[in-house]
Amino acid sequence: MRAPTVRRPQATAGVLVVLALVLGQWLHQQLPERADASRPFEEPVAVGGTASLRSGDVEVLSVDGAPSVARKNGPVLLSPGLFVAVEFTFTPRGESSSLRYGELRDNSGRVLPFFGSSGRSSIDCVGRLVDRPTRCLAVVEADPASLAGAGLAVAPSDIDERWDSMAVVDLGIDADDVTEWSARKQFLDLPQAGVMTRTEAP
Amino acid sequence: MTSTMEHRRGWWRRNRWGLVALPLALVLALAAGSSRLHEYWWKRGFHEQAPVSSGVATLTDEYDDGYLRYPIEARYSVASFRPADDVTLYGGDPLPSGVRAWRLSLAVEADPDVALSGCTVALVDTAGNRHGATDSGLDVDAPRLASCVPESTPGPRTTYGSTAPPAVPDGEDPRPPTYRTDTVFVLPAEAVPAAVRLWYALPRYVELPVDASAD
Repeated sequence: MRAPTVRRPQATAGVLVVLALVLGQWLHQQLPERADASRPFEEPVAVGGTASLRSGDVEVLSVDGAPSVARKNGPVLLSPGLFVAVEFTFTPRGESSSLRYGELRDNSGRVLPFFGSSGRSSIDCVGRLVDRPTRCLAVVEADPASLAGAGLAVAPSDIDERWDSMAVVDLGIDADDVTEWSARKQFLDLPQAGVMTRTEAP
Repeated sequence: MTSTMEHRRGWWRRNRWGLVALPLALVLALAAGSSRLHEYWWKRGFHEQAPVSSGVATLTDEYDDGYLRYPIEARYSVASFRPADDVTLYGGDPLPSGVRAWRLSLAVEADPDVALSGCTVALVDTAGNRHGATDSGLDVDAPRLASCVPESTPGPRTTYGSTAPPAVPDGEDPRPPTYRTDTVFVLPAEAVPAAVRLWYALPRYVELPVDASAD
């Protein structure tokens, strides 16, 4: 004798599909959207060191500051606070590329983002030939009280730094540096960015 | 016992088509959720190489910015590729050590009515690095900007901000159906060029081999 088979009505399958969709939607709403899931990959580096990013290498050359700065053939900029100038090189990997985003992370945990190669806070970093370092410059205007212990982050994209690598520079600024820079009467002559610092192979 | 096994076999038999369709449905579900893959990876990389036959690449592409669309069709071949050791900086100074200049001449064949301005040309070396014509930033005394069209007769082009189709400005001669474009590239001296790459809008591109041994 054949065992009776139970045939569920076809509507049951439809109900299960709808329930699955509802459950999926509910889960999507309940799970937290964590910003740190899309955070950039931070590569810490100190002055004199090199950070290896996805698109190339960043070598930090120097950090200086003054109440006034001047670019080559440009006007002298005066600040009621301080300008901090970070000179570094960028050696592109695979193809020519740039670093277009900078942010000052001050000693109070505040973040001052900046981009563009002109203006009072700027980043000028066009990586030229593959495997050849190009001089770059980041200049940021800040409150002197916020600078001791501050850091600078630089990254390739000025519109979306998520998921990409980012160099985080420990600027090594202390209170004595800030005092010395604040007392400067002469403007700081900024180095010219965009030129290769070495054309020979490494 | 027997009835239980028969019942199980019956379930597999009843659902056999659904089970066959399950992997296909899974693939379709993944494909339906892959728009980011298309937008952020496929459309931004070199993924559709133009066919090459007997050293001639035939590019069939389209300009489309959402307001204006027009076809891009041309055939490209490498007319010559040589080291350009005679190239200097403006003013006559030699190039710095550690770099080397290369001169590329591309032969182009296209309908004079087709707009061809706005391409990008680069060299790809044997290590896979890509080098644009202006990458070095050096003031080279040579045509560095990759000209996709003849300088004096560039042919149809668009007007900035207008949705009018590309046209040849009044008083300008039409572009010849065949022409050559010359570009000088400055590469790291150790880079060995392997191919020239040309594109308008990715993912479609032209790639043609170059012979760097013709020193």
